[in-house]
Amino acid sequence: MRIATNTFVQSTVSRLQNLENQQQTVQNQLISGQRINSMEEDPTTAARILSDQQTQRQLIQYQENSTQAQGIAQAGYDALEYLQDLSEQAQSIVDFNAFEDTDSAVFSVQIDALIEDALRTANGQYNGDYLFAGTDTAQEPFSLSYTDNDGNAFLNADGDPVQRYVYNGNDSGREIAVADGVAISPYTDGDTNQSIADFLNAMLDYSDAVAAGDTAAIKDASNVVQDAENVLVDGMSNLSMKQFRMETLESSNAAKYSALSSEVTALRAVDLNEATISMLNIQNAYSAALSTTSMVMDTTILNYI
Amino acid sequence: MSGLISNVVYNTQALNNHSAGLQVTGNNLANVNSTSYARQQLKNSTTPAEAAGGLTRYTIEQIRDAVLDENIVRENADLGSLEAQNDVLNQLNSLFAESLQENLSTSLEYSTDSDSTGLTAALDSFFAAWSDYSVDPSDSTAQEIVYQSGEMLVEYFNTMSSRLDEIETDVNTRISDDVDEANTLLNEIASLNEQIVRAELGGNDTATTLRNQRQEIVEELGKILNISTDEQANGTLIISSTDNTGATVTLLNHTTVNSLTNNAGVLGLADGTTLGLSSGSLYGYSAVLTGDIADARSDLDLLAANLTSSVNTAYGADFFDAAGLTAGTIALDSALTADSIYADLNNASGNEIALAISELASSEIAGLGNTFQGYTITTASAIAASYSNNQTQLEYQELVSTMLDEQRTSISGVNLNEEVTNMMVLQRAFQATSRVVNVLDQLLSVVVNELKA
Repeated sequence: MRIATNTFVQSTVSRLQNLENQQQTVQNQLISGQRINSMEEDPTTAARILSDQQTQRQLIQYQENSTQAQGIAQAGYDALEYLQDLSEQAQSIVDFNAFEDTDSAVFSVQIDALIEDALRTANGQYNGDYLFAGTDTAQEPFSLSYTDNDGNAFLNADGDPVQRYVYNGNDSGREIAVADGVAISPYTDGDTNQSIADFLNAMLDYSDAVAAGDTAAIKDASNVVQDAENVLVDGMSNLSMKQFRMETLESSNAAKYSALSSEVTALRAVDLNEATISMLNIQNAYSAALSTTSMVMDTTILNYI
Repeated sequence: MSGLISNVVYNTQALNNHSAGLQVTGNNLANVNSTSYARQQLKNSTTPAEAAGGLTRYTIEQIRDAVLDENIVRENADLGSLEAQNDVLNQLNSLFAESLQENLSTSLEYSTDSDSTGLTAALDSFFAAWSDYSVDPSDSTAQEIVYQSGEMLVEYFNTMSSRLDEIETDVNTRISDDVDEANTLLNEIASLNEQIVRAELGGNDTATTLRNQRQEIVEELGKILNISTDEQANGTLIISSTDNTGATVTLLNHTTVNSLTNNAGVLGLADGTTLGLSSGSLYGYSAVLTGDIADARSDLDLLAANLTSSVNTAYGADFFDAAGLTAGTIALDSALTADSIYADLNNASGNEIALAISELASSEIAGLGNTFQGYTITTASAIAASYSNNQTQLEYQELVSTMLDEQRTSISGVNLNEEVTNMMVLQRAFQATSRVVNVLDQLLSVVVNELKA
């Protein structure tokens, strides 16, 4: 093949440009530690990385939701536990073996104080939301009323109107997405919320019985309080189960997130040894191209004239 | 046997030939770095009648391979097409590219929301805002974030649509520019055709410089559209292309130019023919306009339409403007405000609605056959793949063009050593002929001055 003078220059420039591009790519890989820095370098792998990262972001959202949901569930559990404590305190106030009529008024006042405490706890909030109101956030969930939710008047044994605690919330439970396709309500259900009203009313009846000093009535009322307390314990158990489920899902999410991180790293990370050797090869090829061309171009017939 | 005077005449002719040869070599040396230059060669010819006396004539030839030139024009058209597509696909890829540089923690326990960019991230932020809001629909801050993230998402769609419009406008401008450029080049070739025919009327000399210029322009034209050339005996060049039925259409016949026209993107000729291009930058721009850009817009519009309908259905009212079913027109409903979201959702069903919208993030949308984010990634990935394929093809085509250029250079290019050798040969020949002339001069001197007595 006949070689024109410019062929050396043109092919050398072209070769050097090519080597420079390769060097730039490997340099970027070594600096960033990433094999792929933009989508067009490997669209299929980039799509997998993006999909994995999108799932990771979703898992982060679930993690944040789960943290909040567990906080709510824990607050609900603590409140129910406190109500249980109050119940036990109320029941322990009356010592039937040493009960005297003169104690009635004092005990009744103590029980009323416990009821107030219980009401405050039942109407407690977490992050500005009532813990035991279902999804009805417009008003306090528990209040004293002369009528029930259907408008029927509360009457005592004598037929006189009396105030009882009513539940103003609803049966719905606000759900929070904590995993893919899983939304859990960290709140107590409608039945549990209603049982809190029953508990408060049982405490009211218990207080009235203590005030009246009727030992038999006190025992009966105490049993009713105990029954209501048991329902609260069921509510606590239910919240514990939810917390356990959320923790399990959180662990599962964390494992999934770690697996995705590993996959993304494996897909993106550059093999440093391979890249370094590649860089050395390119540098050698660059030097060789330069020196070979300069040697060839250095020798011309002009040197011999 | 010829006489002294005849010998002087013959040797003078020889001196002329050597002198012309030196001029050709000098010309070649002067153009050693001119890319479009084809080296010239002096060709001596002797007629039978002249042979006895050694009288020679010479012609200057240009060393060109017509088949190779034709190949280069054809490959240039493919190169032009790929370069045009590459330029546009690069812009399109930048517009749709999703960031891979996200620094998410390797452990979920220590993760926080990343500051990633791209449409997928914008969609994620929107649905994440709803997820946050579902936790507490009475939270006025969360409701404000839902509104803001909706606005940001809408702006993202609108901006992408505007950028697509700009890319489309840019491509259309380039098509118009290329049509103008092609017409200018055709007119220049027409002018050169005429000059070459005139210059070569005598038939002895070829108009090498003009032919070099013409070839260079033909190759430039070949980058714009697929052409074929046919050189006539008188040196003129007929340039043709293909119409939309695949039939050959003449763009230039001697000096008659059938100009290219651009009628709202439909490329044709002044005689009313519609062009059916298969390569060249005009084909490249048209192909990417009706292919990748149209597909990208269609995907983006479909995404916007499905987002509007899905979110509105889940919201139970118009969160997005129901009429905004394209990326360019998607908008929050005009009646929607942060407060109206609060009013709509701060009730018993607010949590369910917010949760339903947040769950759209991981739901397969019937109209897309994928999740919103999955569809976005697929679209971005398809564009990146198209760009990547184009780059690979372009690199290959550049290699082919370089190889053809090297082949042509090996035939038509100037080699310094060769030219210097030629120069030395011609100088020696010139010197030798000069000596002969000196001897003849001395002989004539003897004949004229010393034999007169």
